[in-house]
Amino acid sequence: MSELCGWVGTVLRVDLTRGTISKEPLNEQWAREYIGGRGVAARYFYDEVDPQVEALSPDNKLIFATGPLTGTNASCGARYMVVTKGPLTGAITTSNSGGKWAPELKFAGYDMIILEGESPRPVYLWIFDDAVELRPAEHLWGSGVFETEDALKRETGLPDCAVAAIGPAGENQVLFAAIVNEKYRAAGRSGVGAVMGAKKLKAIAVRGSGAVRVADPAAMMRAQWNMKKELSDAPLTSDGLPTYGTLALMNVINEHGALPVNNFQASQFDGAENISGEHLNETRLAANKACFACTIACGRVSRISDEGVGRYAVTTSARNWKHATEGPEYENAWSLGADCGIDDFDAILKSNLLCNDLGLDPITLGATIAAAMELFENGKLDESQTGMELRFGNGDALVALTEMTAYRRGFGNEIAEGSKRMTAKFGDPDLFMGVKGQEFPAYDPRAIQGMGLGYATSNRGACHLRAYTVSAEVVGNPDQMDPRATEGKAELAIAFQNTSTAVDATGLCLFLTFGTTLEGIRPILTAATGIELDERSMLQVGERIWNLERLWNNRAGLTAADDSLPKRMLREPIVAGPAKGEVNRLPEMLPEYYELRGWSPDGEPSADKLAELGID
Amino acid sequence: MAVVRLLGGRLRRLLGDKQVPVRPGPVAAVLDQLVERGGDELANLLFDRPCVDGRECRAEPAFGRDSGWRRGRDGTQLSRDLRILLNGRSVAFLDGLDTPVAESDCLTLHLAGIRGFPGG
Repeated sequence: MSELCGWVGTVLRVDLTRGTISKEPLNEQWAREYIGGRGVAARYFYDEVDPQVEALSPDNKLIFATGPLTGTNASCGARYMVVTKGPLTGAITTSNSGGKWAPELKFAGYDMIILEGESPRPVYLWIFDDAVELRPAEHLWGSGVFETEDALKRETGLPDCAVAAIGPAGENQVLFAAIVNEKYRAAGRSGVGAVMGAKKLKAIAVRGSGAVRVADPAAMMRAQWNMKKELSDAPLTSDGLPTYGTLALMNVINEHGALPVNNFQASQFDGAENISGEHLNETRLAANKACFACTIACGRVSRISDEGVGRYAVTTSARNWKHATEGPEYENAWSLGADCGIDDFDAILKSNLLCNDLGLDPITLGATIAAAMELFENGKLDESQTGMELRFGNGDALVALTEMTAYRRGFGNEIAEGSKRMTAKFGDPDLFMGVKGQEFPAYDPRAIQGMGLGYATSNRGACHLRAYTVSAEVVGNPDQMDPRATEGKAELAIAFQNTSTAVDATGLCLFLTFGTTLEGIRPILTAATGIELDERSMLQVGERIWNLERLWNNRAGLTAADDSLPKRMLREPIVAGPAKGEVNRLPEMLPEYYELRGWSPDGEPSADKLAELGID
Repeated sequence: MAVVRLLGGRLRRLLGDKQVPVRPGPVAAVLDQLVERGGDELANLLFDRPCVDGRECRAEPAFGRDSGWRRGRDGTQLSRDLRILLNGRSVAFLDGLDTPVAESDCLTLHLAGIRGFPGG
């Protein structure tokens, strides 16, 4: 493995039950076939984990994986992927984060960490180059992410180390608990933090003094220079994202009539301007922030107003004085805002801050609270059960429930199960707005047909990052596809899925694809690894990973019946706005999708397709 | 009067507000009214500019078909980064620059160009 470039060649394997740590060479063949990150991790997971495993049992594994471009000078080469069986979904989940944690892991000399078993007591993993050890973490158990990170920097004596931690939500196995690094970057979805909590692993702190060797440094510099020019040429990566972050989308999606409101009962929000990127900039933005090696800098440093800090106090006083925070991302401002009928930015910022500190996925949290609000307004829940007037628009309830959920206190214990289980328990499962147990993100699939297909077929449950057809259907290049049409959407969704998956495997950020293409990324990957991959080969890597994940899910018991949408999306037309009268026409798209994928009508990859992709 | 709603700081700064009233007429005529207010800087944002640094502009979309809606009768060409909605519906799927804007209609403009595209 010493000849490898891009990859550093070593996998850390940690048996938490026995407290042992071993190092092994990265499987080079898999690295060539699956590139890295989501791909190689999925291959290890496929090989080592029984799909029938209980997600929160010691037999489930938790993999942290970087890509060959992580920690290089490639723009946006800061990502790692967490791969495990998601407790929220029962499917393979692949949850991604940026910041500087992943580059530090590479600098320490590791491409991946595979965590097995369950520690008998709380521990954290400390990695400093060759020195790797499990240390007691009883003193950190119960702490928030912020306090944990500060404590580990003091304890290790290395304030420049990077920390990925869980908060109380992960410890309490909230089914959508997140893993948070650098306090505000998160592998957020599907409950990866709950798996970490079940293993009693509080945090992974890492510092590396090495570097990532690349095959052709001169070619790497040339390719990177060209990519930077492409990113500075594209309006979204040179202006839209740096200026407004992902919140640039709030007004855009609202104008298209595709912004879900009040648990998808409406698709345009009167308060959208109040929670938009434009409004954040005018009233609460302090600065931009970038991940390691990022030339886009979409991150927001924002502040809660004095009035908001006073109003939205929580029971843990240490978190009450805080004005400064980061975000919110568009998806979070939607889930905590429009989906709950809330346009008070301070309530959203406070809830978002708590999500980071307590370790919660804000998308599922907001969507589950929105479903509870609809249950409450329909009379399926009352104040004796919720402990509060849980109506749409109630920012106080949002903030209170954020904290209660992380600690599973009161009605927060119901929210902690996610909206599929919660709506079923209280008698109206049709109010779950999601796929495979995971809640939708911020685009109404009745108004954007391709998103419905992307949600339905996503391997990790409803997700905007697997097939972001919004790019073509709403803000497309060079011409827009009709968001109301179904024609061509199967091909579109597959193209996005394969491309996004390939990018995820490299260790780059998906936002790069707002400014460049796989053809733009390819020279950097070749310069870093020394392996020639043309664009078609990269797409095939994406297709291979996608099929592998699908195969694992099929073996876990998921079927074509899970590639569906809620009744509201399929049978209840949008009531007003630009997309009035629309439903999602998934049945028109799904059979073509299966056929183009080379899958059976039951949604199973055919033997021929698996052979073509080299999956055994 | 109809209204033009502006998304993003650049358009709002050049036209001085989040939305501006306009006289009804075809989309092309409404854009002319905006350029009268916003001047050359706005015109440069709304209308075509050459591709930068040698990167080839894609002649045809990877998906869908270019209907040519960006081309005006007088030969003008809208910026590929400009999106125009009439009451929430892209004018690309209506009559392009000839789409009539009536009293009480809402035209939305935003600049959201994306260069990257799967397979592109």
